[in-house]
Amino acid sequence: MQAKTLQQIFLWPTVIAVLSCIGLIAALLYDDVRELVSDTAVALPILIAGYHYWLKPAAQRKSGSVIKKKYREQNATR
Amino acid sequence: MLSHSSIRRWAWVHKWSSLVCTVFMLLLCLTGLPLIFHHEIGDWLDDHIATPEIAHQGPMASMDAVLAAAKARQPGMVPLYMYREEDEPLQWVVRLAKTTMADSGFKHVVVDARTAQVLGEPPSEQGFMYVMFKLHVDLFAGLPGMLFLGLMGFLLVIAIISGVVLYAPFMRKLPFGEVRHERGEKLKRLDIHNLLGIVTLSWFFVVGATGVINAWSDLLVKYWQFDQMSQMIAPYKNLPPPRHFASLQESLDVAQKTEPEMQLGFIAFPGTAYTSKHHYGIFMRGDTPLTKRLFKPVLVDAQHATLTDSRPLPWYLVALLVSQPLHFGDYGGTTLKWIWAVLDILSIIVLWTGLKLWWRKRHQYVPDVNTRILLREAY
Repeated sequence: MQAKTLQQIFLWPTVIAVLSCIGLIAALLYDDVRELVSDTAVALPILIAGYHYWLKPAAQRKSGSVIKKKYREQNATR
Repeated sequence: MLSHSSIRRWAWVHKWSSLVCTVFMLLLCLTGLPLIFHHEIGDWLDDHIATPEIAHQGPMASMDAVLAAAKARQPGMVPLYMYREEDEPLQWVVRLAKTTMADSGFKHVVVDARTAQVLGEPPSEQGFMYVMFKLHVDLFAGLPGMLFLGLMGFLLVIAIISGVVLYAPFMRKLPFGEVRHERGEKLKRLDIHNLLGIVTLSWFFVVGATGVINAWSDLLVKYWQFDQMSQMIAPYKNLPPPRHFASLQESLDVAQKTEPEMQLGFIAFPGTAYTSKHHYGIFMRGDTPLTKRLFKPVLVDAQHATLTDSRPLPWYLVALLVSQPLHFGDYGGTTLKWIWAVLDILSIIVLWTGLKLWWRKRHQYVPDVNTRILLREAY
């Protein structure tokens, strides 16, 4: 894999950080239907961590030896 | 990208700020976990006193009667505060102690707001939840303990910021969220630390920073006394404390008239930290999710039941009151509490993996040369 730029590295972290901050504050301001939206935003880190820890590797294992492919890729770019 | 020498500097900051605070942060995360559910656990342990279902029409009992009932239950003690739990609007809780300046030996008497009947006395200063609470707030060491934990929280904030800076060099060649399951325990641990650390960033930062603000709460209230209370009660400066107290109900009516749009939040009795020796500190609040936390103090002369002064809270107490729910996670429903609990557990994993990474670093074998160089420098 090519070295990423700072922008690429921090794109997702920034999106998650901003959304969960909005969720934290929105939950403070509203306590109606919008609570569901803010709860989801606050829970976003959990969903994303769960996806990357369990779902994605499982999907990759299913779709063949992605890891070996990644090794080859890494060695090629070096 | 960061230069090698600045990575090294940030790594030093991350290592030491984390190492110093980690043990305390683990303690705070572990004790905080049951505190998120203190209400539910209270119900479950039967500490909760239920409001009897009775047919009641007409006005609420006079607050003088409510207070008298509590005092009769604990003769020889003085009332400090009177408040309502959010989920029991028909109960008044009266906190009493031997003197108004006491910081332990409290008793709590729960009184029915409709009939002024004593409903019971929840246990005070004992039990599992009390131990969790004290460990979480001040390590059983009072104000110094609180400020010490505040300092640890400040180090945590520094550790989080430096962690974000160090995230960049580690992730240069990794896609976001990658956990290398098959390349050894240590890399997997590093990836988990980085992934969980970066996704819980906002939450951990907010809870950490609001915790630090809370650690200052006693001092902020003391400063408010000195800064604003002293101005409001200037005319009473050299008077002896009152011997006879006017009707509490009458005093409340005065406060309600002063702030007709607001409702009664809690009452601080003369001599406590939230008022003066001469006044009932009557704290009014709004009723939206945000304004119900923002109190407005109305000082009512405790001898004559007349208005002395009422000023909005200064910015530092507003900041404190707004930061509290963001720390406790008690401002949404049950769902938010569960989210809070899971995020708390994720933070424990971040702390634990971080500690273990540091502990194991000398025996580390990292197959990837670039990562090896960075790992050496980063912790």
